[in-house]
Amino acid sequence: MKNEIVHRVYDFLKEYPPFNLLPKEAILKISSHVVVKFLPDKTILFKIGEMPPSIFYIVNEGAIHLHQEDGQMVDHCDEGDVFGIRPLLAESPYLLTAQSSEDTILYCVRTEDFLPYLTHHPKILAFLASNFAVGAGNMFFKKSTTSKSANNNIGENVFTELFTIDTQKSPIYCHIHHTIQEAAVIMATHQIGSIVVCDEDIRPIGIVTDKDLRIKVVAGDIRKKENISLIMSAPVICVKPGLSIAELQILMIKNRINHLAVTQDGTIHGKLIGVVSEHDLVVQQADNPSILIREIRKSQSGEQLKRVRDKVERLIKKYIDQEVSIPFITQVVSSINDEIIQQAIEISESKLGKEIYKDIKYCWLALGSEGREEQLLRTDQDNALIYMQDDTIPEIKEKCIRLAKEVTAILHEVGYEYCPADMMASNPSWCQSVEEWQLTFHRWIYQPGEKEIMMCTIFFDYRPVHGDVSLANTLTNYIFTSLDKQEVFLHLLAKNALENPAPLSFFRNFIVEKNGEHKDSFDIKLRAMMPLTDAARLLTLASRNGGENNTCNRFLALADIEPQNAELYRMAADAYEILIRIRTKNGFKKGDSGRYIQPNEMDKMDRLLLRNAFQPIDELQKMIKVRFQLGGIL
Amino acid sequence: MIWKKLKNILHFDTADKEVYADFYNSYLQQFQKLDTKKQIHQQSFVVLDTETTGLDLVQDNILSIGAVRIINNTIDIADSLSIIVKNEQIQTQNAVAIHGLVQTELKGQSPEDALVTFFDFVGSNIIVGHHIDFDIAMLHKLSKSHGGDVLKNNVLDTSYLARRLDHASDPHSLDRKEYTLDKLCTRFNVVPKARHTADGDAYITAIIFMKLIQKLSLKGVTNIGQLLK
Repeated sequence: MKNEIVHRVYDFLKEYPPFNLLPKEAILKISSHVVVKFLPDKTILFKIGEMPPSIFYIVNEGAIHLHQEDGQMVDHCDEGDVFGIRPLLAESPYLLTAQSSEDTILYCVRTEDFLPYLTHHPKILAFLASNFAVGAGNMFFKKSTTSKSANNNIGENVFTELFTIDTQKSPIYCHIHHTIQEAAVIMATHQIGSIVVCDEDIRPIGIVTDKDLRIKVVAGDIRKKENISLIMSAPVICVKPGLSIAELQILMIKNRINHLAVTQDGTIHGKLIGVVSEHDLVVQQADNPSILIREIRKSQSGEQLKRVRDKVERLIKKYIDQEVSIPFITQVVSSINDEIIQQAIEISESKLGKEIYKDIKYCWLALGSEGREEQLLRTDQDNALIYMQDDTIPEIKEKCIRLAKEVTAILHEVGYEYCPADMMASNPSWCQSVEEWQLTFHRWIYQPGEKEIMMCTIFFDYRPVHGDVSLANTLTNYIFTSLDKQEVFLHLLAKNALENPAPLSFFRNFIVEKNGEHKDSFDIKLRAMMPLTDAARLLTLASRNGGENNTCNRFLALADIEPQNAELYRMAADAYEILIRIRTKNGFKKGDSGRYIQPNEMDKMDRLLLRNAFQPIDELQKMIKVRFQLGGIL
Repeated sequence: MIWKKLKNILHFDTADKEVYADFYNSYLQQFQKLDTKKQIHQQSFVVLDTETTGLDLVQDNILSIGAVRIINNTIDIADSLSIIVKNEQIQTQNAVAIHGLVQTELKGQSPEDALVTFFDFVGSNIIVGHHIDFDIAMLHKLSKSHGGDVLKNNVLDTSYLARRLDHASDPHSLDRKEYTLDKLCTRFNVVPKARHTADGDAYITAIIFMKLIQKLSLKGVTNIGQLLK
């Protein structure tokens, strides 16, 4: 018979990770053994040092705060958040104290019901690993906020599949016949904190850490001339290569060790390939998107946000190094960038007074590359604000501008330079009501001069990032209606799109900048990326296909709409990906936005890729010329 | 042998109330008096709800019983009760023409089995329910018609507790209609899911009960004696 109480618990659990990753029968089974606990406000659930019972918790209603010994809050768990798993797997005492911060209902889940699914569901491992890292990694942030946003789960299910520890580097080890001193010398030379002891066939026998040296040799009575085997721990826990971070972390926690030896066959009888330390995992984990997003949500200042954004840069570098696909990287990084903007707005609203902004309907728009969801490295700010005129609110425009000034200042602190052309929401002409924006676009579209067309190229890639999305949609609809009545505008936009011709004829060299600061370097943004962005924007507007901003996605969407040109569009999308990759790599090398490239510094492969990426530009421009009948105008 | 049997029948015919069905005898045997000095969180409560064929104590019957146990603000889902009582009337009436609905009515436990399970579950715990008097009356009727008798447990009504929370000196002066289960759900932020199933309502009532005793404890109601007052 269907038990309604079990189903009630099931209906809740199935919405939240890690339970949402399990099959229905499994969740039902877990639900039938759940214990429901009501915790009045300010009740302590468990304390540091207590041994956990064989259950962990998920918040059904209310909130739990996890504190360190000094009372500092480490995590805030509210509806759907899971906590208290780590000590269970490790069978070690709680590291934090849990206390309710309001009247709270918890579902207590029996570990024994849950453990069987751990090994079969890599996504659950991934979830748990990110969960643990959150507990350990962000202790330096004092306050947490609970703002929830739509892309809550970004990263949660992607990161472990992408990352495996690189165990291919040649491992450092010592032989079983070495003395303690010899082993210590090897450790010192390679600056490592632990060393695996191997037999003649490089099979791991034991492991020695700094701690063993300190306690057993320096402070103990074993002399350094004696054999290393006297102080090593044995056997070593071995794993096979290619495991995910999550799996490695769970193994360490379960065995309560900090090092794993990687052997060919995963046993102590295989040849040693590498060593993974907990530190290695923490370093990789720290740059995990889901964790970065949680850190962003906890940030209370531009300085804290900057620290996270710096880590994002490391993440991008790792992705680029590992040749992760560009669409994936841009998607992840855009989500993170959006979170930063949202948190900057959150901080600003709190500073100026939340009640002031409670009733103002507004929407924050990202423009330019962030609007197109293809910004990887920090560039100049391009943003705008649109609000709903409301005569009952005095000085609504001033209030919006004041907010935008705060936000842009925080973003500046994070490392997004102020826009030199002042195209930012803090500028009164970029902070307008819906009606004002419609007038602005009307002017641009119906009286288009060179400047107006340029404004359009910047502004047409807007994307709502925070606030009332319907305001942005109203504007989009207005623009499309206006375009229908003003075909000549698209011709001018087309003309603009041809302004930067393809940079390379087949056998000639790169066109490099002739003057100024960047003399002799190649402007990849102006010469290669902008022609593609402009073409994609123009063709998308002409096909009235709103809602897609990303240049690659625009080309792919166009390929569906116009099968006869599908091949060209796909080539263009590929080319754009290559350009982003090359620009980003260059940016890392130079420590800037990567815009200016020294052609002679590029390796041969990248030069070739870059050259091929120029090809579709020329073909696209020819097509645009014919389609918009620009022969006469040009 | 025959004589003994006859004596038994005679004995029964004299309507001696001391001869009960087994379920009720075991219930009486285990029953323990309440310690009113006990703190609330040490006491176990059984929160229950019944679904019936209607609201008439004479004509209508229990269709299902749902119950959960609360000890120290905790409900163990595995230790909950969800009984469908096989309805003998429907069974005899529709012995031939059976459609889907009747089919489900035919499932479930016989009233005898249901009583065994229920009385075993309820033990000496304090019984809690919303407008519990009606459920208790229906349970008494079922018990008596199968060789049992009344429940000796103390009983608490969440509707009354809520009114007592709002108006300690004269709870009865408050309008009962303002204290329906639905209204308490809204007030105590409980999602009214699976309403009108016995176990679903029992669970909802249990959550509300825990929140009520928490609020009452802030007003000095901390031991059982005070709670039952």
